[in-house]
Amino acid sequence: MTNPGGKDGGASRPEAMIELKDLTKRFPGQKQNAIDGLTLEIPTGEIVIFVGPSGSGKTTTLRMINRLIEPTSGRIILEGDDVTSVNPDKLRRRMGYVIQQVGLFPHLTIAENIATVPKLLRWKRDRINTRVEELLDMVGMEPATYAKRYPKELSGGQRQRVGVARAMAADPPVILMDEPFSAIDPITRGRLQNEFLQLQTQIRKTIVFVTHDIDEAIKMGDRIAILDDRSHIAQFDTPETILSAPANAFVEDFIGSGASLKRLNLTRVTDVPLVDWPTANVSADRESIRERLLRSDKGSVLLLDDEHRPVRWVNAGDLDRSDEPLLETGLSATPAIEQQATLFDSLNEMLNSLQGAAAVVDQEGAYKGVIDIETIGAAIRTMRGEARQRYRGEEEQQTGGLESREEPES
Amino acid sequence: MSVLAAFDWSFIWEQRSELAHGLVKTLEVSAIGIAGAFAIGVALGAARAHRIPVVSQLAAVYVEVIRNTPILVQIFLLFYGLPQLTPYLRFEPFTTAWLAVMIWGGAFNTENYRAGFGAVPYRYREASLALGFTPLRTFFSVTLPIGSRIALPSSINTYISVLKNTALMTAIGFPELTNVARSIAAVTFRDAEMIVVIAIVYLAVVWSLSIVIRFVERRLALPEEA
Ligand SMILES: Nc1ncnc2c1ncn2[C@@H]1O[C@H](COP(=O)(O)OP(=O)(O)OP(=O)(O)O)[C@@H](O)[C@H]1O
Ligand SMILES: [Mg+2]
Repeated sequence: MTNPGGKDGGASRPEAMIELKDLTKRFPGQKQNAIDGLTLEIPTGEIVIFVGPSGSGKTTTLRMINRLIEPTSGRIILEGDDVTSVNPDKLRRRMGYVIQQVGLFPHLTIAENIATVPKLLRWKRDRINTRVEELLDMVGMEPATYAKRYPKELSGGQRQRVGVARAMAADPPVILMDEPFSAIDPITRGRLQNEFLQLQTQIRKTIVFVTHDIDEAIKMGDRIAILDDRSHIAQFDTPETILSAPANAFVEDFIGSGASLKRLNLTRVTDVPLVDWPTANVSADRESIRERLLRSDKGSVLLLDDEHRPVRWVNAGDLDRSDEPLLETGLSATPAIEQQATLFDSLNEMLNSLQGAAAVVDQEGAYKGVIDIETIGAAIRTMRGEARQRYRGEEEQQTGGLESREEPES
Repeated sequence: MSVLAAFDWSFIWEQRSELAHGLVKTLEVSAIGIAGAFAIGVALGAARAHRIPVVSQLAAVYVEVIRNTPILVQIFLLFYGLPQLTPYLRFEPFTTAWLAVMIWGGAFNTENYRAGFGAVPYRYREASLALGFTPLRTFFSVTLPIGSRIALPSSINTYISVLKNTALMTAIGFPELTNVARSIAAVTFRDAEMIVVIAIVYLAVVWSLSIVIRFVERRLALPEEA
């Protein structure tokens, strides 16, 4: 085991969906193993992230789990069954796989691409059509617009999303994803990550997710495997532990600077209490808005449109400038923060908008509450407290093992 | 122009039904030859591209032999050579005709399809296998449709050559268009007219074939990923 200590060293844990046992691959004609004795358990219903430098063997490992590449030695256990030598075609239907280059079939439309596996399984036409629409909606692509298009008529990011939809078509319990969001701009990527996490709370798939991006890993992962050369595990643990207790210099390097700032990525907006903020409808008259402002201690009022979506922040000074229309005064309150977003995203938005607070919305875009600097400060204090306790706990475990009974502190 | 003006057009018109018979034979032989060349090209091209043992090596020898010998020699071998080796391999002129162009076109098409299948980017096959397609199904659903489109321009040239090569069947006395024209000329001594007429007919047929194929090609054109 490459992971001594830590809470994952034990033999039995919540049932593992996939177990890799001493998995090794040597490509013909090479002197070194490309994957060298990888042992790892992937728990059911969790997102496990493989993160590591280029060439560390992430893709090769996914290909072996899927048996696109046969391991030189070692075993793969899926739901308790040894699948190292079963029929690979049947095995592959139990796991969706989004390959690194997406590989949408260029001669088929988007709808036909997504329908590939359902057709293979001989689903009825109606069921297939319904499923295709459902999946396109799920990845945020309007079925009416995109179903009939060909892959070349999509942007790189849209293709990646269709790749994800195609892998999920027949609802496999396991999904392997090789850098599925890499070709997407940071804003869209953030939104997709949020939507994907939201989806995962409902579908609870076992997901193996490869990325280069440590921030993505911290945000998406229930557990992260940081892979060194030849898929040696540098650390396999929860994002919290990796950030607060990196196992070695390689992991520290990989996390990079600003580990404490990155830890804001660990807390989601749903996990913190939202602040109540004075609000008013955009068409309300200035006097009633001013009244509301005076009754609160917040210094500004959040204007909402008729659908309850945040529009602008206005303060007393803005209200006094009666020559300007209300919608052109104050500060913009968009884009608002989704609930799956992290405190890191929220802080970012606060700094961008200069407001020092960010409006939080539900899936329909309707106002839910506000996150302000106070919220973030409180979260940082909690995290610091938890980390301190964990350190202390680990020390106790190590020192309190054999005969040492006397403890210096309580 | 003056040459064409000197032609006796009414004479040609009188020969129209015989020439039409010859054209039909030419088209029949071409159609069978093209269909066969397509089938051989796909099957052996796949064997070559996927390096299927034994079949792949045999296909390579077949392609080498056909590509490096004159087609007229191949026709004579089929028609005159084989019956001397064994009486069971004695073919009618018609059979010899389509067999010869099919074997010839098949060899060239094997090369076309080998290159076409080989040019299918690996990611498509990987995606297909990853989705749970068997290797055979991956071939039919992914490699074949994508590879055929890549091979289309070169295989079109092969099909057009198959059609033109049917003219060589005149050498074994098979009454296709060229042969019919030669026979008419032999009894009427109107060689110039006959040659010009069949040249125009061949041109018209190949052009219409090209138009049809261009149309199909555009319909099938692979929407290439950027
Ligand atoms: N088919 C192959 N034949 C020989 N060597 C290979 C093959 N596939 C991968 N390798 C080698 O195995 C190592 C791991 O490659 P792999 O593609 O798994 O890396 P990766 O971690 O996915 O990298 P990236 O982040 O760049 O995608 C590399 O050194 C690569 O050169
Ligand atoms: Mg890779």
